[in-house]
Amino acid sequence: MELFLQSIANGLVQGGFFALFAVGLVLIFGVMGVVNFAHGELVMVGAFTIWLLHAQYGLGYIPAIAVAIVLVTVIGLVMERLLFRPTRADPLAGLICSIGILFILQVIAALIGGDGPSKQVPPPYQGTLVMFESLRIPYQRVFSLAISVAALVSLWFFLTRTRYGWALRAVALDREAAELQGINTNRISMVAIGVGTALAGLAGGLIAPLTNINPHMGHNVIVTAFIVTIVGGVGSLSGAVLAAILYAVFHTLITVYFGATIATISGLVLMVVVLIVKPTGLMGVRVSE
Amino acid sequence: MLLQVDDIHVHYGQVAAVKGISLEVDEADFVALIGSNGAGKSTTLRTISGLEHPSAGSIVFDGVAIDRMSADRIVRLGIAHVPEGRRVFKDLTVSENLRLGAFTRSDQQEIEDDLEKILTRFPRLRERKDQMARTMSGGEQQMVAIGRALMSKPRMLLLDEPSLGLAPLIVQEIARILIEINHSGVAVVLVEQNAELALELARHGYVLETGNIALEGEASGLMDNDHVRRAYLGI
Repeated sequence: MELFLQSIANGLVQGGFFALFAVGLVLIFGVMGVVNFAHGELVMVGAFTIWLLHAQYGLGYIPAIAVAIVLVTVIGLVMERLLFRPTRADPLAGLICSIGILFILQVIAALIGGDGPSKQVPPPYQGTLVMFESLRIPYQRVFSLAISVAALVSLWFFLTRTRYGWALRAVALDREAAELQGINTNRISMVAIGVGTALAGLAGGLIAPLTNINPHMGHNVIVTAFIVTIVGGVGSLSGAVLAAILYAVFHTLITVYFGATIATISGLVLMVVVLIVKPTGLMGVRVSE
Repeated sequence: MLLQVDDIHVHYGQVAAVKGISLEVDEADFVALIGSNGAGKSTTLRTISGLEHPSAGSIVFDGVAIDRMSADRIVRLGIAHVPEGRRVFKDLTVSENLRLGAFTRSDQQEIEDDLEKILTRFPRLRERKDQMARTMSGGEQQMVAIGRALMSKPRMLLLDEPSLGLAPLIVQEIARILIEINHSGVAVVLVEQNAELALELARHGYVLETGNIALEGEASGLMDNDHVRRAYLGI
């Protein structure tokens, strides 16, 4: 029972990360129609930045996270301006460009950090929060969960309470009708990819002290993000957040009791089952009328 | 002259949809474009609002050439377009839809006043303002689309088949609203397959056939024209 509760607590922390990068993927796909395969590498760049600046050069953890967010966001904005915008007419072209970026970022990371053993960042926050006598959550994880929740709440506020948030949702629903309201859809695309990649940078920054950092870590991230967005319902942000939390708890429990490989396989099976039983996902709505 | 469209040609790839259309709209005018499917009515509207660009010809609105301008900039000059099929933002609430219509404006207080006016003009929308647009009936969605267009404070309103798929009673209500809008000083350009309705409402009419203008004139004159009566009014 103790192990079970502990796993659920760890799963919730994990769910915060999953949600951060999954909603970014959903935002970019919704507004720009591009499946950004490089999203996992953006998280990797965020984590790598923490390793380089914080663990190697001694910059504070929080300033390093800020640099990671800015760096990843800039990469995202450049991708939109130089690759996705010129190829907007052809959705497949955007996807292929993103796969190219994926490899480029992996190679750059390997050149900077070396392709040797994975790197670790010592957790900047030491100590453990003890609840109900036996439930132990390291402060590093408490910090991550709190920041993840704060970021998701801010995103929700932005999307539902500000005119740029409404405009972003409008562009995702009907680009042409949005233009007819005077919305500059190119500018909204920049906002969407800016927010989506900033969240990926933040996720990388938060995950850095809790995981093994290497140039190929983006692979697990993107697989997780796809499972979460498909289970949640493609295009649904609230679905992605819900699925991220459920999947993270599920994944953690299976990992604890059966091992990591079985957990990943189970995740993919879960995705297939959802596609068969409810092809629109948990919160998905049908696309055609 | 508020709008002057001069001999525009519009292509979709290799296919010419509009082959030399000219038309004029005065300040506070009411103009109808009628014709059968594929005559080029929708394309003409889409070209005026900047969703398409002409391969030849010019469009001047209030002294400004707009034929190369993007749609979002044209809205700022005072042209609002209610597109075919209404195209409301279905997963946004009615009030979010209406507020997005005012996206180009920054006069907060006046936006609130205009929103209030529109909710008064469309009482059904007030009852449902916090509902998702997708839960509304076709007629109500058409009202959202028209209200959204009015929120940009246009000088000219383009409407593409607002009566399509609506019950006769709702069509009458929409017609009454269009007259009110026109009387408040907004020029209206109405594209309709329902030629009778369009010519009843409009002052001037253009009959489009295969990308060209076949006939034009006073709406009442077109109503009496033998060709129009046979081809479009079914009399």
